[in-house]
Amino acid sequence: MAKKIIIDPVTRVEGHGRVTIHLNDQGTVEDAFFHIVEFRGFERFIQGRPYWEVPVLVQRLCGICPVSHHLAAAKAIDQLVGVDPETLSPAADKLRRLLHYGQVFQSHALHFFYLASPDLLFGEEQPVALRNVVGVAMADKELARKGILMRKFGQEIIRAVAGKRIHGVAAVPGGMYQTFTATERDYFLQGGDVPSVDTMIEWSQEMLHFIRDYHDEHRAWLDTFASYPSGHLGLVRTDGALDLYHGRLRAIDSNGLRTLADVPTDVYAKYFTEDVERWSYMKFPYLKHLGREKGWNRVGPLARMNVCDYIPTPLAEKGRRGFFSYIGNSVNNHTMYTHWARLIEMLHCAEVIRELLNDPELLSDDLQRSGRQRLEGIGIIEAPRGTLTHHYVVDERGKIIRCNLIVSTTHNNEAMNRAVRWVARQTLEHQSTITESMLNQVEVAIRAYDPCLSCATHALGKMPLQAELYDHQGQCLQVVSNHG
Amino acid sequence: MGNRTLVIGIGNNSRGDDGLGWACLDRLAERPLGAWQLEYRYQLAPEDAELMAHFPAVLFIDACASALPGGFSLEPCPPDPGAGLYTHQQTPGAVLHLCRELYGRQPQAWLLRIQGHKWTLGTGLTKAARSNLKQAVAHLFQYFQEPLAACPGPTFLAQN
Repeated sequence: MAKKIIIDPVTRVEGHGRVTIHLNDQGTVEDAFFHIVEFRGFERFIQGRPYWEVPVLVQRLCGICPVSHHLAAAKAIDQLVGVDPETLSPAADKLRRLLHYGQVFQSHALHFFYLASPDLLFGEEQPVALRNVVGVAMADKELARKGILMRKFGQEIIRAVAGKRIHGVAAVPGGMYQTFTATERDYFLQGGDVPSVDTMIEWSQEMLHFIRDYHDEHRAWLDTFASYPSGHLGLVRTDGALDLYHGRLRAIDSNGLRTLADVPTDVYAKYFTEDVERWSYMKFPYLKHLGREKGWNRVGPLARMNVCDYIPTPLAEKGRRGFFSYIGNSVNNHTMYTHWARLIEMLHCAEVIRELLNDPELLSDDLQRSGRQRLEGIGIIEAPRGTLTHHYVVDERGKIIRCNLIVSTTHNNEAMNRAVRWVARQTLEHQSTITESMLNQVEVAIRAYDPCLSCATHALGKMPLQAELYDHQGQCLQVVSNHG
Repeated sequence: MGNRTLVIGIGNNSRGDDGLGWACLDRLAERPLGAWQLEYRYQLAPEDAELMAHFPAVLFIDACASALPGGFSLEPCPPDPGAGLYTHQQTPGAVLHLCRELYGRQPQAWLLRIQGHKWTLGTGLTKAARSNLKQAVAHLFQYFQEPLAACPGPTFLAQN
């Protein structure tokens, strides 16, 4: 008897998504989909607004990574006032980087400690009531306390630069609004209500040891679960180094061959296009010259590890080398290694923050530049979840007439759909009863990508999960509930 | 932070009456009673447990969709071990529970709920919500003649 399984909503992700799995009469998975079922329309409703409002408006896309949208938009708006990343004042560039690396640090901490760690610490067989941040806190109080303070450190960096932890104002067209003070710098160097940046580096290294040990203990699972070949996309510097704020677009295939050879960000539209499906509001971007089937790419921490030649801070680079020597390949296509990659990036962010705090130029008040007005601006940044594109066209009066956003999670749309299919085929086929733990495995695969469905489409998700099993006539055969 | 009181307003002022928590903080800021520290939140998160561990008293203020006699209610808010299921969207009781478990602190806590009526996109409170807010703030100042921290019973547990 044909069946359809629905997981709605998917839990411990940002926003609202749904999974449906279709089984045929023999209990074989015919297909599986990860749907984004609500619509936002930011690209449309900012049309007609003056360009200088945009960096503030687009922050409302997200409560987790508003800084990423703020800065991607700011980079695009800089171009509208004739300022390119290379001509931004050094102080403004460094302040933006401090803001951005603080943002990535706190977002990665949120994902690892609050959202993903229950999957890693407890496993899918444990009661759902345990698989949450409170469960983690009860099981490992030291880990929980550190996780909370690491997130707080990143949030305090954001507050110091932008005035607020969420939806502050920092970047203005052509630069930054205000400078950093020596008092603020010393607060993070020496520690205060939050530990010092040195402590953040020390704890980030501890987390790398933790995840390495975890891989040793669970290698069979982590090396196979939701593992499949894919392309990888990210920004790199001109020398091939990882750069989260600015660089050139590089993509590779699953074997490491370049499919996009370090092209400037302002020509992205020449290489990328997006497809749509009738069952989701989230688009499917891909490289034009490879087509939809071969041109899609993962983005985010794992992709960034794969595309960069090295990480330009010593401890994180050591971590990156250990990461690749562990698997023995130059390209890693294992979804669950994304958590490890994310922790390497946390260490990198902490190192960069320390470098910036020790840079006297951070305190300079040379904050803004201007140039010749243009009608088009493109800002691309490596957000916590991956490559984020903001593209605006204005009229002669400076009003937005066209906007295109390619959000990180949108790039991962195809990858997440493949992950859902992989898990469905491995765990749900030919099962007489569908258990909550089986369904949680579908979510574990999605969560590894840290999807921000709010950014990609729409807002608040209700957290309880309910899966319903239907026969081919639409009759409900089984209901499985989850509140994790 | 010693004897200060932490007051956390929860909500979103872009969603109509969901902004009641923040609007209440705005009123408190106009006429402070003792040593209040005001914090605006879209939602509570685990790191708020760390913050409230530094305070002997905490007041949560949130909008409420249910009907409340007089338009508001002010009640003690105990830690709730069973409420922390939603990871980065915590209830006041769940965060208090986290605070107790992680930091060995149990601040005296209250929850002020103010009835709202409209939750659609848009700024500004409904007339009924504004009336409820006025009543709630008046009651708050009357009830807490002294800063909350002066109220009896902040409990400090052994650090574990």
